[in-house]
Amino acid sequence: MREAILDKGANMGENKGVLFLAEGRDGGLAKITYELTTAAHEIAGQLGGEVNAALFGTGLTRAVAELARLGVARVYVVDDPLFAYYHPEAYLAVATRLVRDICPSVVLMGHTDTGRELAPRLAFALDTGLCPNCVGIEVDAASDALRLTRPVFGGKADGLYSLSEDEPWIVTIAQKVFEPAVAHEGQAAEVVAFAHRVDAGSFRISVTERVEDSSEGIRLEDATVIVSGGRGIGSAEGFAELKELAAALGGCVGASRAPVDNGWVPANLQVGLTGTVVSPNVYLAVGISGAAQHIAGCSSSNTIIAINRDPEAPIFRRAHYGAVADWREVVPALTQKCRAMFG
Amino acid sequence: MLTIAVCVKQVTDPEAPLSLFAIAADGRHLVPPPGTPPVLSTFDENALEAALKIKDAVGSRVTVLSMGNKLAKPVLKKTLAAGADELILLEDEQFEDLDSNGTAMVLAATIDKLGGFDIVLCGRQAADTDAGQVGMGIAAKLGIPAVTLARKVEVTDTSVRVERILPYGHEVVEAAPPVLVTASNEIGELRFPPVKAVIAAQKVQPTVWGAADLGVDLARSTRANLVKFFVPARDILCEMIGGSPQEIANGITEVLKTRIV
Repeated sequence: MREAILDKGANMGENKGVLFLAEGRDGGLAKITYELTTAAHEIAGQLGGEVNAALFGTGLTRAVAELARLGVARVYVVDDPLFAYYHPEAYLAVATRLVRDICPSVVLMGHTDTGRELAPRLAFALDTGLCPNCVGIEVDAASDALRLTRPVFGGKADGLYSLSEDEPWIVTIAQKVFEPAVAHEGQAAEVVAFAHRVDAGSFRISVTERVEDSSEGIRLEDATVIVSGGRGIGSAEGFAELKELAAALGGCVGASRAPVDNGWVPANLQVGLTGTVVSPNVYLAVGISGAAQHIAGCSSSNTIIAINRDPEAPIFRRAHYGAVADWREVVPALTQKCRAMFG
Repeated sequence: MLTIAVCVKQVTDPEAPLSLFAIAADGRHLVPPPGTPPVLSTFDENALEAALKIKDAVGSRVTVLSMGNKLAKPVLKKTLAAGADELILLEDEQFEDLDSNGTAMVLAATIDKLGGFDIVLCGRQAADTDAGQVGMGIAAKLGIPAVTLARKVEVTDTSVRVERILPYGHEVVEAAPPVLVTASNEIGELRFPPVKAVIAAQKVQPTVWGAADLGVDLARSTRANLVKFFVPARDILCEMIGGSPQEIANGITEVLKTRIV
């Protein structure tokens, strides 16, 4: 990391504008990439300058072609097996070099597993400011400074921030905040293969094993229906009941933090600020009180339906439909009804 | 002996309900209801637990560092009661409201002054600001590798072995010390200290250092400026479905029918 600081960019350009770090997934682009594109255009529209994208990974042909149709000026690509998985030293080295080369005013990343790891490293390597997990970005017309809004106190309040003068300003953007951009056949960005010059031999962190959980079914962020349980579910057996309901609805099971901490469900089912941010068509919150940090992960769902015994539970202030009831009595009846209806 | 530093932050209790908080007139502070004691940020408690697990396994000296202004010493002494060997408080008016960069500068300067540690542990993010930057900042300033989101930390003869959580699994990462590791809640909750240890800890006088002791110049440290906190208007009108469990199930199904195609 210290090496990166000493590695001054050789050809400092005058490009400015906005650079965003695209993310690939399953050979194509991850959803956040389309949202970043929209955010980048909105900012560049006010600050001036080009919108450029960067994409690191391997086997990127289809993803790059898609990215090039999103209305960006240039796509900087590092397509190399060394970048198949996120490695902090590899990604930091190439991101630092790229930013020094093209000198954007703003660097955008998604507040994803990659973005929230890489953005602070990049900010400290470049010694500039970072605002993470932004849900709002405005450009102050008088000063051209960014005014950034992000949830704080576990989502209980928002904070409005500005960054110090030194560019580039680094911003990670919360998922599902910006409308996804649409690809157009007529648009063709210039694709630049970026020479990364990263030497894996210099890494101080080595990844010796990578284990994927064999959790079956749909990923939380892709689900159109999520049946989520909280502390009120009380046990792993309780979650088995929710799983049956989710199956009847063609959806999957999620959880607030308490069931994860109690070991009733695996950690990757956690919805919230520190888990996955979801926006399904229907979010059924069962036995979830509605702590702000959980709400921050599901509030953009189209319809939230809450079942809770406590009429004062905060979840009822965020849900579109609610029922004050014991889930143990409602869920079996609901599962039966849904099997008949949607099965 | 293996040396471990754990950086902990004192925060307003994140479990207290928001309706009881007020935002101060300057917009820059959240005022808790009277009698709400501050707590250790939860992920920092996980970081301390990770350190104590290493101490249990291979033996180590655990030093806790906490930075702030007007720190509540009884709250921080909980770390000693739980098993830390030493508590160093970094207190100065200048340390109030520092951003991630300033905080990382102070903690890195402290670690340097103490001669460095084999492992520096931090929580993955603070319970109040949720920024998740300070750990990586300390590592960058010390020039040591940083591994984030640990669910398990072990020490072998030559390296620190970390299981770090991935969205759909985990990876095993190794680095030779010195290394910084940020802890996630999967590491486990901080152990409950025995009463005897709590009483003994309250008698300990922690070392207290200010900006001058550390020789750290914070004049140009700010990278992110807080303009104000505010509570966004987000409440929506909830339509209640009443009746017997069967009637509720029927009502919810009616809603689902229009929402699921």
